[in-house]
Amino acid sequence: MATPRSRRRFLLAALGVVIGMAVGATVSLNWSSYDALTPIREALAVHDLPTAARLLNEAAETHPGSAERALLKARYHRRMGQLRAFRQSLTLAANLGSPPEALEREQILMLAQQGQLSVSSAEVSELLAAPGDDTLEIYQAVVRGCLTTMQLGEAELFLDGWQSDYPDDPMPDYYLGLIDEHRRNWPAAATAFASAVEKGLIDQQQARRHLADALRSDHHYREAVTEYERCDQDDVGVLRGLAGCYESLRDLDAATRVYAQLLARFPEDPAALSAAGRLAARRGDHQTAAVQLARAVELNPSDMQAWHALGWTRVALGTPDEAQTAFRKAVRLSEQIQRTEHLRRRVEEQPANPTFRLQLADIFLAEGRIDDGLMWLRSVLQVDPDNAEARQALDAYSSTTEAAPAPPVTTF
Amino acid sequence: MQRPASATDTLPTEKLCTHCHRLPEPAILPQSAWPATIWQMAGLGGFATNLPGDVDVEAVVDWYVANAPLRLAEPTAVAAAATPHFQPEAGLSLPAPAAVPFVSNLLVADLLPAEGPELILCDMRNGGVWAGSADSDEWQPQKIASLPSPARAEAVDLDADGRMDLVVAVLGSSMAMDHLLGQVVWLRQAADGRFDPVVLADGLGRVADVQPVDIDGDGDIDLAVAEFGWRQTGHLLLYENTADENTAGPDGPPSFRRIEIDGLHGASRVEPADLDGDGQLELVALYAQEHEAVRVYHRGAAGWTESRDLFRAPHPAWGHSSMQLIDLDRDGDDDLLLTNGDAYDNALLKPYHGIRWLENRGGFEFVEHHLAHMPGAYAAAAADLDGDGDLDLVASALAEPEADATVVQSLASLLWLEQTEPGIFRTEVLETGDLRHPYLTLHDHNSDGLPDLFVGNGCFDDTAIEPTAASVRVWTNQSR
Repeated sequence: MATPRSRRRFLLAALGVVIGMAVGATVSLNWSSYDALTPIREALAVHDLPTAARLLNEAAETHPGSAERALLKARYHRRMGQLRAFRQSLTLAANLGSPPEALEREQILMLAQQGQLSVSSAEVSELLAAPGDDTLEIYQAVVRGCLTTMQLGEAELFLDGWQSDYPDDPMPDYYLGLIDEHRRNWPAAATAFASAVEKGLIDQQQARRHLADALRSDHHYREAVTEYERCDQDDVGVLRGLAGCYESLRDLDAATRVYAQLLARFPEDPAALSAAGRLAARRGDHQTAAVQLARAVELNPSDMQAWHALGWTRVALGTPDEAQTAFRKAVRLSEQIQRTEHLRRRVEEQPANPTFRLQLADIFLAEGRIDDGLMWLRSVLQVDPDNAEARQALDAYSSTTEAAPAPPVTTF
Repeated sequence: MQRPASATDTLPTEKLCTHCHRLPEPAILPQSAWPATIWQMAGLGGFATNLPGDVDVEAVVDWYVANAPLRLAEPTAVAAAATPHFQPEAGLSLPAPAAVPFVSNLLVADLLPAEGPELILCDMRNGGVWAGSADSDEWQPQKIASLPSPARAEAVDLDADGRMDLVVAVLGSSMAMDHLLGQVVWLRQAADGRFDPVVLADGLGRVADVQPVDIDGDGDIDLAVAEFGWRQTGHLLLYENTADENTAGPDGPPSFRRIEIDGLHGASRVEPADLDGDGQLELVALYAQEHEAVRVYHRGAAGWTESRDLFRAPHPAWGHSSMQLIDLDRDGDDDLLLTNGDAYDNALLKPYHGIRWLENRGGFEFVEHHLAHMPGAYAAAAADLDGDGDLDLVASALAEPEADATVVQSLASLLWLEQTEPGIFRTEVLETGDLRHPYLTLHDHNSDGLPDLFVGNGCFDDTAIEPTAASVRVWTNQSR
């Protein structure tokens, strides 16, 4: 009987996606021979981007006119999601004589990573058919693209292949953790993040924080505290999570202490202000709560919990009309949060249907969450490249923001 | 408190939990639901109040998980009758709704006597109260008021001007939340048939029900109010009409004195009744949330200080969803018709959801009769549906469970319970799979002498439904 994983492998093959087997004509960068740039390639291969950045800077001295270094730098910027720097490095690589096929491959990888190319597009199919030495890069770019556009099922297919081909690579575990996190499958998310940590993910801080967040969401507060304490204590998310655990464990003194520490370091962090304000209200300090919560909603008007707590604080302080205003905001936001949750569920059930993605984009754009709105608009074009509504909206936003414009209907 | 070494160890759960509600047995929820449930409780005020010192919440979670079943019993699949006694007709839609309507209440009343009875509809999601002919196949509803999440409307001539008005319980939000946006609103009918909103009470938690009644027999209309609230807010209230003290003149709004009858939250229904036949009206309230009870309140010399539970569900996950007072066995006193099927706390279909009749045996003694299992049971109504002289029942379901679609498709969403012998009911499934019927009411739509069924639609996840989909469907009685 097929296990879920073997079944996913079967589906992957049925999609015509066979990676790592091609030996034919390849246009990938030639990594086969060791040279002075090899450590950079190795750093990228183990996802050690800080080391890659350092080595690239050093190579600028030793290989000032190297087209391959420029191409590697473009690859580094792509992995970092730095679009402008990526383009600059790619232009430099072209000027230094990089082969057009290699340049085109990097562009395709960038588009795939941004979720602007479907995994079934001709460009990605060609990459998959002839990955050369770039198998890992392809997995990375396609999976990130799938996650960006909420094609979670397809991402899982590629992650299975990735894990199978590179069993010691912690990145697939990390991405699987993100998928489980999205699905609120906290035990599975915790397991995946723990595995990523164990396999030595370079960004331990990130993985540990996600692990701690998953444990906290799964109500394992003491274990979550342990993980948060292993994280960098300068991280605002870590301190927020830690304080939240103490609150759940009913240790309000410890929670108050951590919030004070958090606000001392990040006095304008809206989530910290919101959480600290809510705790102050819970402890009956309505004056402090009112100040912190008012600032929290000023910085983040979409914070439903802060509006709600602010309403009760205003009741306690004897300003009922202002309380009603805050309650109305909280009600409207809670309805919106619920609708967003329902739409996300529909997207996962029907990933090829653009309707729900468009509705999510509308909600986020109307709320002023432009990045989220644009992400959903781009995801519409991935599942429906000719969708006029999404294209027009993206074009309208790209003319007023620095966001990437809608890709052309026919790419390349 | 020591962490128990094994599942067989005992915890002081009796003291831990019973400050707020009856002791829940682990068997009422599956293992997976207990951690979130216990931790949620631990964040509330009453948790462990009966115990000295701090409580190891993790030990409590472990104990419940260890003693709970892996999953609850699967609901039994049913099929709709081949020739059901009710047939669905064309649906009634609201004109151009902004979002899919959520019908929280249907009422048939003579608002405009010259035009026959009206069907009045509360759309909780879009915030509208609508009215249209209850007898016409072309309903053509008119919006008579915009209110934030109306839950229920009742017809009453509140100012005794000869024109029928409405009083409306306003939640303030369809989402469960503690706030003070709830209201009681009087829709006062003007001479030209317009309804002018007059706020009679505001600054309340979510108001689920308002019942007009002359509770003190002084000739004017008082208002019994179920302020459901949520976790921190909520009361059972009486607004006593102080018309005799009114200084606003004969055309001014009536004034009311607020009387707090009970500080409990979670009251979803309140009905006046003389259950013991002493000529004095009592108030009967249905409580959901952790209380899950039916409580009767009496007015004594010191006011509304006496109460007793007529029914208390065995545990706080019961999910009371509706109550109707009706003399189901026609022995001259009011019985209670209850449904419990609310599953919005954890999206689980419970094996204990269903329809129950509490038979009034006198002296406030009620005997429970389980009539039918119905996952998501949400509303019920009683009438002589087949014209044989006894009362039958219809019931509808509302639930959005995290269950396999094929399981949901095999669940009853509309039931007819025909009383075949005194106290014996035969169940007929009218419809399966469409568990989005928050409300229903009965009215002889086609004037054939038998009540027809008006079923209101609504659900919280409406992403797969067109806003213009039918908000109400008439099911024609085929019993004759």
